[in-house]
Amino acid sequence: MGPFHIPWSTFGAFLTAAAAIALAVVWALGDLSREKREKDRDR
Amino acid sequence: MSVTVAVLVLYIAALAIIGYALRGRSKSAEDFVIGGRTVGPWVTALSFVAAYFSSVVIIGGGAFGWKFGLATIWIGATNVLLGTTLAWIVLGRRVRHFTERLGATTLSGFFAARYGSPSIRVFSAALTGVFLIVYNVSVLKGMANAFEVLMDMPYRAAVLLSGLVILFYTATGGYLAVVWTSFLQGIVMIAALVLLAVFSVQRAGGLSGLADRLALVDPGLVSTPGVWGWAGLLSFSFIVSLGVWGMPQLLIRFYSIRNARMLRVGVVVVSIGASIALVPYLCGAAARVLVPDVASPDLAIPALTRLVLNDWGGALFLAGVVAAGMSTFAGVLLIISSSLVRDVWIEGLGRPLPPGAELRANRAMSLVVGVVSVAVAMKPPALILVLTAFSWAVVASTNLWPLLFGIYWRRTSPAAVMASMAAGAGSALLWQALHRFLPASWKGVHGFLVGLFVGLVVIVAGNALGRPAPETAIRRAWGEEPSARSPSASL
Repeated sequence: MGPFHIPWSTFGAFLTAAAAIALAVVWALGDLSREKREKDRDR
Repeated sequence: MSVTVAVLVLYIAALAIIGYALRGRSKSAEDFVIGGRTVGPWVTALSFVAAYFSSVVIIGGGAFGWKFGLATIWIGATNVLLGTTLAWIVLGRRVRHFTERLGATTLSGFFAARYGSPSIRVFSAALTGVFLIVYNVSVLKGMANAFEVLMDMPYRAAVLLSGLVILFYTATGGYLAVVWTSFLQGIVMIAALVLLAVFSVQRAGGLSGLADRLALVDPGLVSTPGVWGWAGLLSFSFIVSLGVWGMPQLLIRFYSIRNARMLRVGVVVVSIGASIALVPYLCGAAARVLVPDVASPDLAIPALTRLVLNDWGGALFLAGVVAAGMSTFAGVLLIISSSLVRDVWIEGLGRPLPPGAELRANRAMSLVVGVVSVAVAMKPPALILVLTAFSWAVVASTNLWPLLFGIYWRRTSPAAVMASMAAGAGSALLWQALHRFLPASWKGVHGFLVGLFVGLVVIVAGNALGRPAPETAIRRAWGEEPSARSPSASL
């Protein structure tokens, strides 16, 4: 049984939504650093 | 009721004011159709959320939650991950770059320029246009049903009221009015759903209390896949999430964002905003224990609203439901009218219009399409009612592979694209038409999945056999040659 008396198989839906937000943040940061690297290389 | 009317009047007035205030901002057809590619990340992200989730999702999602329990929250989670975050990451940057380089303002225009094929433009625009009108009728119908249930307003009066307001701000302010009103609508939707979720879960005894009480009704209402089973849960989650990847009214948000760097902020905002997709299902499950005796699952959310919210909360919730429908309808309306003007009239029939006339034609066409949609929604013919159930599936299965292959695979063949579009749409339609003759074990498979599978097989096989697009079209799409200077220079 997971948190709030909800089975992990169901609670995983909340975690998936949270993981999607985390993925978005990681992608945004990765994209920013990729752009910086490309700018440095062009200089 | 007076509070509800006051909030609704204020809300509709705000939408009309936004449309009126932005009336002078459209100086060209490109401004009218995609806002001159000047929209910021916050507005793009929240307008995407508002256009994605219509009234049908809120009321219908609640009905699913009531019927099948907490497992349905997975539908919302899949909407966030697959339908939003991954869609933005995989499609956003490339669609933004490619449409700008090719001077495309519509999805059909992008296909034509990317594949160097005018016939793909006309085929895609005609098919998408017809089925999006049907889709829009279903959105309008869902919104009017929400008015009926939540406000006791007669159905036809609701269709007329909401239709006229949307027509006014869309025809007046164009795409900028659509995204800015959608931005406001997104905020109202989020506020309304969060309010309902907080008070519903609190009334049910918190999340633990809700889970315990649901388990007493049926343990299958708490576990996954629970009473629904894997087949239903997985296929429904998948189709309502992947469908986004081929829906023009959502993809247009990528063309119109100011630049590709804005996608970084946008993807985070949109992922957080889209998390409200979990709420209708959670509230529906809460409704199962709080209002177990509703006559139909579709009445679960309206009944829950009356139980847990006061007049002000109820008014805000109604505004949220109406917002969800309006933003979807307005977005689709603009897509249909711009596609009919540019792809069918100007490019397809070869009737060029001077820039000022094209802008006026877009305004006029949005009015015409809107009036037709409202007229059909007043008393939808039986055929339209049948088609509304899967019109979006035909549109999505037509567009998804040609778009994805077009931005990732240089050697995609125009002939394969045309065949994939026809096979995808045709098989989705045929599957739904023959649905009642299928064996019971196949009935759970939605036409969208069939269209998607057939479309993929055809485009992969066609690419192996067919020739790629003209080299100039490929080089221009990949930024290796000068961009098209104007939308009309795309071919």
